[in-house]
Amino acid sequence: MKIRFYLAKAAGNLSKLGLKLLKRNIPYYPGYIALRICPDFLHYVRKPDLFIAVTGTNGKSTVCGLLKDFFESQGNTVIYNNGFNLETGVATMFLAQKRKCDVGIMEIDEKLSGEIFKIIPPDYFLCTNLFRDSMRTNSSVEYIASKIREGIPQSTKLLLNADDLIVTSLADNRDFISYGISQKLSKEIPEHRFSDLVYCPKCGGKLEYKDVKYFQIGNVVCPNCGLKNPKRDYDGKLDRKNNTITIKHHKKESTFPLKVESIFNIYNYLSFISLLLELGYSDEIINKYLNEMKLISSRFESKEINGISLINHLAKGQNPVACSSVFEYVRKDEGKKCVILMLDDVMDARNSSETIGWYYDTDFEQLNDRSITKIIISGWRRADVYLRCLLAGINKDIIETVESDSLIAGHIPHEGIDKIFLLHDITSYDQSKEVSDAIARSLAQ
Amino acid sequence: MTIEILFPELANLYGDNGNVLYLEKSFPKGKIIKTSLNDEPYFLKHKVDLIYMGTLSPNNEVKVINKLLPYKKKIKEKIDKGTVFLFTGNATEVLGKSLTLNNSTTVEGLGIFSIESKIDENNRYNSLFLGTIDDIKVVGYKSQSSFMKSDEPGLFKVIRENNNEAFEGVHVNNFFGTNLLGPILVLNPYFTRYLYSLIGYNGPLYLEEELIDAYDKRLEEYSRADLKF
Repeated sequence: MKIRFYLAKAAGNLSKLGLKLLKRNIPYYPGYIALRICPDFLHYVRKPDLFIAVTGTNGKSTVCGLLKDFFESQGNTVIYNNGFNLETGVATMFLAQKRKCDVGIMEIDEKLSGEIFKIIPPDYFLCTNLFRDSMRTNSSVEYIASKIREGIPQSTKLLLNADDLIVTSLADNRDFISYGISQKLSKEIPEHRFSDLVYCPKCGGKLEYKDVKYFQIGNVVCPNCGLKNPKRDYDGKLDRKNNTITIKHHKKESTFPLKVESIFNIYNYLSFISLLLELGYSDEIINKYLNEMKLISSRFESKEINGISLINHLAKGQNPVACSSVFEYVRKDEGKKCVILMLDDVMDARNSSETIGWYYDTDFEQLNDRSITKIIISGWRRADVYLRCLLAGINKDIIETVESDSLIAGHIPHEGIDKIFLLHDITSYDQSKEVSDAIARSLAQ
Repeated sequence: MTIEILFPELANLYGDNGNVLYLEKSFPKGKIIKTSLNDEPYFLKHKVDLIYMGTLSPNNEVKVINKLLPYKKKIKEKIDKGTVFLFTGNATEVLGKSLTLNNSTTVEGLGIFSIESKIDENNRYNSLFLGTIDDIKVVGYKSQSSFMKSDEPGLFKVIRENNNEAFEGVHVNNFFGTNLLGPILVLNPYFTRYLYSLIGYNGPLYLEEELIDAYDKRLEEYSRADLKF
C-alpha cells in the first residue's frame, strides 16, 4: 500500500505540472488524482508539528487565511488548503508538503470534518459557528453538528465559540477552550427571518436571549433547565470608538486593534487571536502582526474614486446568515449608498438551475433603508432577486435590473451617493472585479 | 380571512418562510395566526380558512408529532370537512403512520394518512421539479432526506423530476401536501391563484405581474430538455 501512496504522490505532483503547462487552474485536481490512485492517501501523510483544523458555516476561510499568514510571518513553514475544504483539497495540501512542515492549517467542510479527523486528528479544532447552509448537501444544522461531534478525537483540543450553543454542543461533556463576547452590544434583539436555536437543546424549553450579536450568536439562557453559555476563557470586549478588542483571559487583559467592523468578522478575529494566545504567543507579537497585516482581498476590497467609496464585499450565495450579516453591515454603514447585487451562485446553478429558497431566509429587509438610494440587480436570477426585494418592501423606483454585468457601470449614479457596495458571491469574484474596474473607470471620468 | 401558520419558529427550513411572507403580504387585513410549539393550535376552537406548515428538521418532526398527537381527531375532521391545508417539504410526514429515523428509531405519526416515511440524513435527494395540477404547470424543487411510501392520492402530476414517480405529494379533499420546498406560492402564481380561490379570494395577486414574469422565466428554463434536474 505504501508503494501506491508514493505513486499517488508522484502522479498528483506531476498533474500540477500538467495543469501549469495547460494553463488550467483547478487547485484541487492534484489531490483528486492522488486519491484516485490511492484512496487511503490521507492515512499515510505526515502530520506537521502543529496541525490546526477550522470549520464552521461562516468564517472558516477568513480564520484559516489569518492563521496561515500569521505563522508564515513568524518564519514557520506552513501547508494550507486555501479554501478547498473537501477531501481533494486536503490531499492537495499534503502534496505540497515536501518535508514535514511546522504548521498545517486545514479548513474543512463541516459535514466532512468528523470523517477527516478520524484519519488525521488535528491538535486543535476551532469551530466558528453553525447555521443552516446549502440545502442540497446539508439536511439540518443538528445533523451537521452530529456529524462533527462523532468524529472529534479525544486527543484534539477544542476551541469553541461560547456564544453559539450549537457549537458548544460539539464538546459533548468534554473539556474545551471557549471564546466569546459577554459584553452586551445592543439593547435591541434583532429580528431575523429565522433562528436555528429557539428551544433548549437539552430540555426543549424556550430559550431566552439576553443579547443577540447575530442570529443565535449571543447571551442565552434556558429558564427551564438553566442551560446557558459557558464561561468564556477568552472574553472579548469591544471599544468601537478606538476600534479595538480587549480580551480577558487567564486573569489578565490584552488589547488588540481591529481592522474589521462587522460583528461576524470581529468573531473571526476573536477566534484567531484566542487561538494564538492559547498557543502562547505574546500580546506584542500578535499586535505587531495585526498592525501590519492586509485584509484578504477576495472578501473585501475598498477604493475611493472622486469622493465615492467603491466597496467589493463577499455575500456568500446559498448562505442566508452570511448574506444577512453583510446586508446589515451595509445598512448600518454611514452615508448614502448604491448597492449592486450579483448574488448568483454559479456552483449551485452548474449544469442546472439555482434554487432560490435561501433568498427567503435572508434578511433582504435590511436593504429597505433610506440610506440605500439605489439597488442594481444583475445575474440570471435577477427576476427572483427583484421580487424578493419588493417583498422586503423596497420601493420599486430605486431598483434596476440589468441583463448583463457589463451594463452595471452605466447605471451607477455619479451624484447623491457616498458609497457603492458591490455584493457578490464567492464564485463570481472575477466578474465582480471586472464590474468594479468598469465602475471605477466610469467614476473617474 | 384567517390563516394559521403552524410552528413557524421551527417549520421554516430552506425558504419555506417565503410562503408565510407572501401570505402576510397577500392578506394585510387578514388574521395571520402564528402558532408556536408552546401554544394551543388556533384551529381547535376557531374557524380558519387556511392552515400552513413548512419544512422541519427530523428532530423537530418528532416534536411536532408529539404536539399534534392529542389533536389528531380534530385535524382529520378539518381535512374531511374541506378546510384548506398547505403543507410543504416534509411537513405532511407528521400526519402519516410512521417515521423511521436514520434506520434506527421508528416513531408513530398521527396516522391520518397511510404514509410511511424513512429518513436517511446521509442521503439527500435533490431535484428540480416540473409538474401539473389540473392544467396549471407547477415549478419548484425538492431537497430531502426522507422518502414517503403512500397510498394516498398524489398532488402534482410529474412532468419531470429526478425520480420516476407519476405523482408527488398528497391531495385529499383540500389538503395540499407537497414535498416541494421553498417559497412555492411565490414561484407559482397560477397555483397560488387556484389555492386562494379555494379560501374565497379571487382578486389579483400581490405583485402579480412580477410573480408571473419570474414564473415564465423559470418555466421556460425548466422546460428545456438539456437542463439537468
